[in-house]
Amino acid sequence: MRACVIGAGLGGLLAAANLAKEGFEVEVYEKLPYAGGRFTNLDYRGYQLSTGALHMIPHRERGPLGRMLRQLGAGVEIIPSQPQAMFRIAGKDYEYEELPSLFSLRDKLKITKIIAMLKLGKATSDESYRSWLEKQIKNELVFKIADSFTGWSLSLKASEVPAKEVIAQTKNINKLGGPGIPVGGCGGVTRALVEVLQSEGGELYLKQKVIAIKQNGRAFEVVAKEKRSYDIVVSNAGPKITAELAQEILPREYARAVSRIKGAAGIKISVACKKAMLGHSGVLFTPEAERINGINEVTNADPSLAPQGEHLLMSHQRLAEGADVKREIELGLKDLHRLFPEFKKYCRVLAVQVYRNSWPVNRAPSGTHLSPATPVEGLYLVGDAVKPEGWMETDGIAAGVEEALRHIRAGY
Amino acid sequence: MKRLLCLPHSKMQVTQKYLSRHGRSWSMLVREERCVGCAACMPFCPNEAITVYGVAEIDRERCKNCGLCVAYCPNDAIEEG
Repeated sequence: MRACVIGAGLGGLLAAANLAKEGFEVEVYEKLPYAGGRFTNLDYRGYQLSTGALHMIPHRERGPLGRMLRQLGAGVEIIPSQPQAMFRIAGKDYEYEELPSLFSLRDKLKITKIIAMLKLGKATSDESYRSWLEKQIKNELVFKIADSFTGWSLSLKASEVPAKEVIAQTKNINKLGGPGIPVGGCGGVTRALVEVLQSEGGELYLKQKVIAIKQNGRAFEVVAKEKRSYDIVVSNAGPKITAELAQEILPREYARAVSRIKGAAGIKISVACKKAMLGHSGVLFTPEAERINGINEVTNADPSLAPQGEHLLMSHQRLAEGADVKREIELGLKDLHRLFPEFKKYCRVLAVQVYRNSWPVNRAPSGTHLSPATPVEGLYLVGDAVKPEGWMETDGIAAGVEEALRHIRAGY
Repeated sequence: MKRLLCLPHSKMQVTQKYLSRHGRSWSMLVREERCVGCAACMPFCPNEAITVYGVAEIDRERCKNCGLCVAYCPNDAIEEG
């Protein structure tokens, strides 16, 4: 059986490595000169920036990505974040469990109830997380904490995510634990996956852009530099581009439906620090900042991500549709100065990276739940547009790949 | 300058080579409607000619026209100018 994978992003590489291991003859096409897509390192003066994702895996080694990497035999160490997360409120940092203590007795009871409801998982309608919360409590700080969480992990406001999705995600956090840092960053994972792929006999073609997916009987014909024939095609190019590539074979309604999906956008600011500004390897949520949703400092787990003795801090903020990008960046930078009074003394901004349009945070917002199976049998989608309910970020991508593989195995 | 921009592509390349050989800089062009500001190009530039703040900008004085950024841009947003 011959499998073609379009795009060597995290989803494409995971699918390719799995298929190669299962005995498929796999060929991966990547249009860029490097593998990893939005999940690899950008070495900038010894600091390991990234092409997209933060160097963090939402459920450490225990989530779908950690599990899949282990099953593949990809040698990636994931260091659990310690603490998992802190919340900076009125200049002080609190753990999740400490948050109720910030409120009045009446609100404290309500918040304890919300935390229990998030744990037990109760939301049936399609309401947003924000309106679900509003039914339980009227407190601005609670809404800000919710926005910082969804902004950091999904690049959405609480009003833009279904409550169901957040509840399912919280359940997974309670079950599997919070984030971890992959040693070597995103690039460490990408490198390990390419090694697995190649050791299983798979091929990775860089600088080869696919221009069309056609069908000849049941077989697929993929046109890049030359035309080749495959039994299945797994596309990591995103639903929109896939629909364009396969316009001859996909129904028009499907192409129209996926063309309406609007991705989630965000801004990441990478900062070089002469000393540790957070001092831990977890997430610092910043609910009271003007724009920034959260920050991490991965060098507290893996010092090799910055030159010796220095630290690498990254902030993330959601970018609203149609917002003035330069102004949003300015507000993010102002937040950093406000959050760290010694910013000027110890820190230097390395890069401001915006993710939107054709290179977004997520090609489909969390809660979309697009199926990896397309209307054409044998053509599948993977990547950040195909995340099953309850799975966020890179663990969502791995869970989507798991689902795609189930479809593939059922078909062949 | 305006007349130069009207030259057909092949002649334009010749002109570019001539100009760069004579110490005048031409540089890569950022198509702002395509550039998202992801900065994937920035670390690859051997001449540190790229700064990114919402959108990539190429310093014409520093750019040596090597074209690496064209290859590394995920959004096909950089062209030979």
